[in-house]
Amino acid sequence: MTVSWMPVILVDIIGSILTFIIAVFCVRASWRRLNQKTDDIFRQYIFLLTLSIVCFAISRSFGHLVKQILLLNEMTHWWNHISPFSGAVNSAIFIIIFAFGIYFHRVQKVHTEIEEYREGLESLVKDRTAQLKETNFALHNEIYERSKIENELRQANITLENVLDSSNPICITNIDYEIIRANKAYMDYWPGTGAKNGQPIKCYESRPGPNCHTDNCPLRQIVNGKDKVSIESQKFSSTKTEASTFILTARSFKNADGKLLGVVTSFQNITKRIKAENAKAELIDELQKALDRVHLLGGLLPICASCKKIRDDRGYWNQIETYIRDHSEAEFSHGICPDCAQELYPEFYEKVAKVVEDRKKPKKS
Amino acid sequence: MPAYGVQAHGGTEGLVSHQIGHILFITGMIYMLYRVYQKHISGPGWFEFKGFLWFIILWNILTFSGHWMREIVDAERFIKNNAQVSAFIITDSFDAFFYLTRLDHLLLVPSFIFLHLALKKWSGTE
Repeated sequence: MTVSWMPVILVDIIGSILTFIIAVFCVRASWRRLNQKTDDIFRQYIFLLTLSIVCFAISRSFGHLVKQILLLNEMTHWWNHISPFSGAVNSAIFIIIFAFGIYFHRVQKVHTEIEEYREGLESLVKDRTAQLKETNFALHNEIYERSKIENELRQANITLENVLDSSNPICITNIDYEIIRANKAYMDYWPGTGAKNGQPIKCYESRPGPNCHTDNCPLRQIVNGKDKVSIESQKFSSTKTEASTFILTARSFKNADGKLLGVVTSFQNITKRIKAENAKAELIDELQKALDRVHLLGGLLPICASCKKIRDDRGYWNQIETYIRDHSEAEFSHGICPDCAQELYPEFYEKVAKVVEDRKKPKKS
Repeated sequence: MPAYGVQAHGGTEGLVSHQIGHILFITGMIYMLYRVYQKHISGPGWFEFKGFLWFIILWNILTFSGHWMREIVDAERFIKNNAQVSAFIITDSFDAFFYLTRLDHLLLVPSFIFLHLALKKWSGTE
């Protein structure tokens, strides 16, 4: 059977042209893919593999087209010269393609490992980021809470300052007898209560008194179980020249857990009141004495029915004037009544009576 | 005495090296195909790439056979017209298969089409 060689020639020419064109498109597509992610090792591999295959395709297509052209133009001898080189180039490229082929698995494996590590890393970063966000959120909340607490603390401090800012001296003493806080009134009365050499001053040094180092000490009483102690105490001022009397009221000072930390002591100066009370007592005493004397005169007085002498509490009969003079503030000035004047001095009585009578008559104008 | 230390590079040595090239080409492509199937690599573009590998392997086998058969086929089978082959006489299956090997582009072009499709799919999905 004889078959035409034309199909061979046509397929060769058209196939070569098509192979050439498609090979160029393959390189373009592979290059574009590589540029999407240049650090991807597998994309680099596929690009190089494609390039080598395309080089083979272009070389072979070019060679076949040249061959057909030369053969059609009866230039066989030229093709005989060129064909070894064309074949050699293709052979060399085959070896390169073979090398790429046997490294396919290794490259693919490395790529897969890299991608897995990358995914793991991204997942780790994502988790860490989420953790950080959570921590950040918690931190924000903590900061907010802390700010809130600080504000409350500040407010509590200000409230404490306002409460302590009393006209009465107030101080807070710990169980070691150290004054840890005192208001202005206290500092005015007992200056120098601030810390000395970084150490707080002891209460018995700041304001020594008769109860210091005794069981009557309010702090000692509260440490022993009392919740409140109120005593009257004399304290000297800072100048130690005058003593004042205070009502010292001490209450236990506890922390939030109920543990006793010390005492809060307020001092109410009652010196003026004491003085006033003393003055009042003296006055009352005097009044009482005066009242005693008035009372004696107000009772039953034994008096003689005849001579009008009064018997005193010693049993002696005294003239009435003498008795009243001795038992009161009264004094006597002696005179004569009309009846006795008429009886004892009748001649003078008539003259005096007439004069008095004339004086009583209204004067004629 | 012939200089046995000198090796000539004439005759069919060029064809042998070319055929070795084809063998290496086939080996590389078969290895790639084996790894793709072994690892069950799938996804967009990999079906087309496997198609490319199959076609290029078949093309290599066809071309390898064609090169080898060209050395064996009887020169009288070719009918020439002014030193240009115009027809071919087919007497048996060997001659028929040789004729088919001349149409190797029927495998090469589809292989490159598959390669291009694979690259396009990879570009589009990644």
